[in-house]
Amino acid sequence: MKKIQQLFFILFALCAFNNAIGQATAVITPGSFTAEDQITIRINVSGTSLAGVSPVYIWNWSNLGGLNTNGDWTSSNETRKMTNVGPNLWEFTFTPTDFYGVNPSELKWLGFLAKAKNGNNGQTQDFAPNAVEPLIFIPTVNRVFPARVSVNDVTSVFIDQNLAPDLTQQRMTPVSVEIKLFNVSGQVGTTYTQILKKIGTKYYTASFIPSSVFTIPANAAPIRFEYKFKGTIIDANNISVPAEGPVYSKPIDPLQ
Amino acid sequence: MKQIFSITLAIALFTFASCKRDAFKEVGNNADFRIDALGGTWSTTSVTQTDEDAIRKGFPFKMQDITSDFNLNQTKITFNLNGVNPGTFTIAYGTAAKLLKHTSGNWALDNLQKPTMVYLINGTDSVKLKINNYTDLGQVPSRLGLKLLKSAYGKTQLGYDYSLTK
Repeated sequence: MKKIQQLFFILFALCAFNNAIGQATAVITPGSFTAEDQITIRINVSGTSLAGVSPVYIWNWSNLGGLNTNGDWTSSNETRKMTNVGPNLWEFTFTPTDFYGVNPSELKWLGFLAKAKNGNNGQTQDFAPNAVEPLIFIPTVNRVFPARVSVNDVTSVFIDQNLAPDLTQQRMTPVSVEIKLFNVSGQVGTTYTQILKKIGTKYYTASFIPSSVFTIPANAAPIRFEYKFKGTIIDANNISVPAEGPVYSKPIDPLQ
Repeated sequence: MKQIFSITLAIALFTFASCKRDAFKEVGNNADFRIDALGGTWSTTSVTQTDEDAIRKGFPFKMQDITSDFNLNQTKITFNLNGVNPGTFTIAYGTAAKLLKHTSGNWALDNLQKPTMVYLINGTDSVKLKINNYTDLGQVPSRLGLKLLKSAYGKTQLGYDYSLTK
């Protein structure tokens, strides 16, 4: 019994230690990117062994393996020094093809962590794999034009039923699109619905400007919107019933 | 006789070869630009939204006409002159979407002789418009192309091409 108690105590202590060290968090912007897009990695090292350490260095790898230009684990290359943008907040900006010195088609995913110049003095956990979008256009049932939009831009959503992978989206008669705006805390404003315009065979669209159709408080900082196509479908009894497709998500970009 | 014929043929060929159509002048060629022709009220005939990222990557769906969906042909831009310099501007949107952000302020050019950019300035905020062309500024009716470009992640991402007439 005593042994079991000791075991529980050790497990509890390990958990407590793990919580005390904490995990870093990382955000890549833009949320989706190709090998030729400039990306910014922001890492929050609060509550980790790197908290309070300065400077902090990034350590990169990819599906192709490690990167010689990182330097040594005990002495990072100075070109890998991250920029401090707040308490325990560090950023690094690069374009994958230039940074890794490879062809765009070779990069499938990226990995990284933050560390002290001497990695033995502190590091975060690994952040990998982070998918690199292929540099080819892949037609899909849903599409947003243009690829990058802010809340003040004309935004068009499309449904092309000819490309639908499921029966509901193939068979339904689209009528409207339901749009919700979100920030980090949750939904911003109320749900907005717009009637779709038919622009081809089984091809529909709706255009809107988020800041015109949603009431966005000054400090709301929307980060994405979700949209869902709705319509009707004929059921087994030959009756028209409501139908809807899946929910799609689109990031909001900080365009200026 | 044969020599006279050859010389005549050579002259005719030379003359024909010389009749080459002038290429359109590029923006920035001051021979085409007169600031007084830029002054006045410009009406929007069409607005095309461009996906600059798709253009860069060679993807399909590079542009779409958004004029009618947002009543953008109601947008009227007035450039007032201060002598031979840019002065104030006003934008009357009517029911059009306010894509150009401001409604009044001062306007400026990046270069008075060879402009490539128009700045719509309101307080400390300015909207930068690229001049697409001004080859038809002096014509009746005059035509002007202005493009609002927006950037993020170190690159231009989208644009609005305004085709204007006066």
